[in-house]
Amino acid sequence: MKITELHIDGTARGAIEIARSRLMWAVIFFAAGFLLLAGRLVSLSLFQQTGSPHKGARGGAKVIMTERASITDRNGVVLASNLKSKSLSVNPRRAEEPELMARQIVNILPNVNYQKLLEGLKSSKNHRWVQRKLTPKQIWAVNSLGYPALKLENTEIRTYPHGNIFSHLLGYVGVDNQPFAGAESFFNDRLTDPERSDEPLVLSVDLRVQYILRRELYSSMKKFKAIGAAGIIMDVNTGEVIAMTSLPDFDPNLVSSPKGKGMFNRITGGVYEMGSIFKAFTIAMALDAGIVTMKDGYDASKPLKIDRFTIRDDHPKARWLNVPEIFTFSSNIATAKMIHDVGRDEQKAFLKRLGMLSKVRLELTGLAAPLIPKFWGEIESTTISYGHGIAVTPVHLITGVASMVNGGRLISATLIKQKTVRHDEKNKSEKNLLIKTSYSSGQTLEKSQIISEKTSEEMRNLFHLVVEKGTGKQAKVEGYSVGGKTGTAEKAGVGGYRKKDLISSFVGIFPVDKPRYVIFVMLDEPKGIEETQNFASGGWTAAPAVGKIIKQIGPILNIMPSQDKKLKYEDYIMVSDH
Amino acid sequence: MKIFIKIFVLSMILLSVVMLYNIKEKTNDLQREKAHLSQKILASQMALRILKVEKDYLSRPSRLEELSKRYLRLEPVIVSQLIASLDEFQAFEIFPSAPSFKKKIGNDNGAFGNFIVPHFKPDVKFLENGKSLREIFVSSPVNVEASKLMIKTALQREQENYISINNSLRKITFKEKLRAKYGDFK
Repeated sequence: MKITELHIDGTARGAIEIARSRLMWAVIFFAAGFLLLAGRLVSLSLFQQTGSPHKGARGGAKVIMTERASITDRNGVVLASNLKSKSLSVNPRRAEEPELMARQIVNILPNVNYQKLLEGLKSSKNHRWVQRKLTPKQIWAVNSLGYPALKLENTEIRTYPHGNIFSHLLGYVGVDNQPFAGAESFFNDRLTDPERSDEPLVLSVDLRVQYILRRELYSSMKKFKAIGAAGIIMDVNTGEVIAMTSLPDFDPNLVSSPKGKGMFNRITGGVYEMGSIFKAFTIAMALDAGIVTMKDGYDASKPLKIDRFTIRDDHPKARWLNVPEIFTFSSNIATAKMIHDVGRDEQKAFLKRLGMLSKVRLELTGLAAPLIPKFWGEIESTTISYGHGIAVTPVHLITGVASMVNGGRLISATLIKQKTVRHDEKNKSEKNLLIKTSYSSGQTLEKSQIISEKTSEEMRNLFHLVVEKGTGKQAKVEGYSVGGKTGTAEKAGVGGYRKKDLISSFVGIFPVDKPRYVIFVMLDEPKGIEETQNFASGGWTAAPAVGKIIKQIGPILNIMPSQDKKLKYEDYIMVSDH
Repeated sequence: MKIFIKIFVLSMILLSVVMLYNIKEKTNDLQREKAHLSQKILASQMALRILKVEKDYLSRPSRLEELSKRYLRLEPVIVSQLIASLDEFQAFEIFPSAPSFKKKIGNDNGAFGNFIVPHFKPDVKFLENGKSLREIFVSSPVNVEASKLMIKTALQREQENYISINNSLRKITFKEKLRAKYGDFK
């Protein structure tokens, strides 16, 4: 093909040049447009990302299963979970026959107030809630009414399958699933983290143990007509709280505001004078400092006078008592003399190291600070030696007692399940096991040596003596070696102590030769009954409850019966307490 | 010649355009299917969650306790049903040549799997017959009375055999030993 070249000059040439350049622009414009389309086509068909099933069809953000993650116990049993549900709302402007509609709704939802609903339906608003969280049957019935004014909106219900059993520990949520109290509140950020919404929060508690603890506490509370009760079970080696209950309690399924009965958690929110259980700390500090040995003792024949106070014994022996006897018979006089030898500053420092003077650390909200005397004088020091004049929470106490018996290590209590360690591996010595336990437990575990291992062993023997020979006999369990200490304190009232109103408690350690668990049970104002010869002290009320609990939870927690442990220091005790 | 090349290039372009379009359509279909499956997975996960909660609600301890009382003869395991080690349970020391069976059957996963309730399987054989004595440890909670009965029947049978085979070992009071451990069978 040969192109004939034309040479045009003049005005015609100018016009052609203009046409050409315009044509050029059009070509560039269209070419760019088509190039853009082609590029987009390639990118859409070849390079579009594929994702997990949790991504939406358009590759959007991860679909959130529920607003709050579930909570389970250490064995994976669900304690709290969000389930999808519907809430009924109404658009009053579109309601044509308010009376008929209100009557029909009240028939389906008996909790709705007819008058209020009718008022709502006659109002001129766009949106009103009728009832939240309907059951599937109710949803079906509402749908079958077929009113366009009614609207079912997606909501989530926080469900607690075990009702009252975990009330204080878990806390509860409000109408919009906002957390109140307990683990719900403390772990709120974790529970509402969208990245972990289908990964449950695993707590250290065990449903079976918790159930038994609550049942026994409840029956003791009824039996002794107490106004309240509390109990806590802790693993001495890891600090894991296995069970924790405070009575009276509530059903978190039914509660949505912090009003009403049973909302007070005695375990973390209440501070109590713990009475004689504190003697364990006094004796431990004296033994550990080498101020006394097991053979030494003090004269407890006469009541002790300090200033205007007179210190008496509840179980007077009226003679010289050695250390095992002081603990076993719970002598106030001898303990008071002992702390005098230890010294006030040492006592304060020891209790501070034990965490008794600061707020307790546990993954719950509403933790109470202990009540400690402003001035740590002679009389304060003396009364604190046997558990009066200082008020701590049960968590303080159980953490302290655990450190007395677990080899002397202070391990803070935790509600998070720690990595498990096989406790029954036979080839490993006890010492190896303890080290392994503390390594495996991660960051929440803070430990420091409070007393030496030798003192801790002596303390174990003393606790064992109390149950075998002393005030805690009713906590004995056939097949297990149990140690413990009773505590009875008069409640402080206006202008002094109220003689009749007691806090009766017992702390149990089992198995005492190789402690695994420590149990604390406390009854608030128990009344003596005929069966207990009208006594309401810890040895008569709380100790039998601890015995019953150990008997039931031992097999569940895989504690094998101990072969008869030889009672050490038994010879030191002259007369058995009757 | 040139024209053929041009036609070829043009048809290739057309072909690739058609293929690209097809791929895109298929991808879209797959994506729709994926979205649909995702929906189903999420719905199933939610249903699973509901079922799990319901399961845990139905197996709450108070309800199980009541049902167990009503329909089963099972009671909670008590301490005397447990043994710390097989060395302790040497009812078998009466057969001095019996190899002690030290392996523990069961698991350590907590729950009820780790309870050892000893009872004899009726196939207990004697060494004198050239057969080994076997202890069977069942890893489930068993009614105390039921396990006592099983031990009793097994022992009675075996003891009868035992007397007829060898009288020299008669003095060992197997029954007494168990009576001391489990109380009187009657």
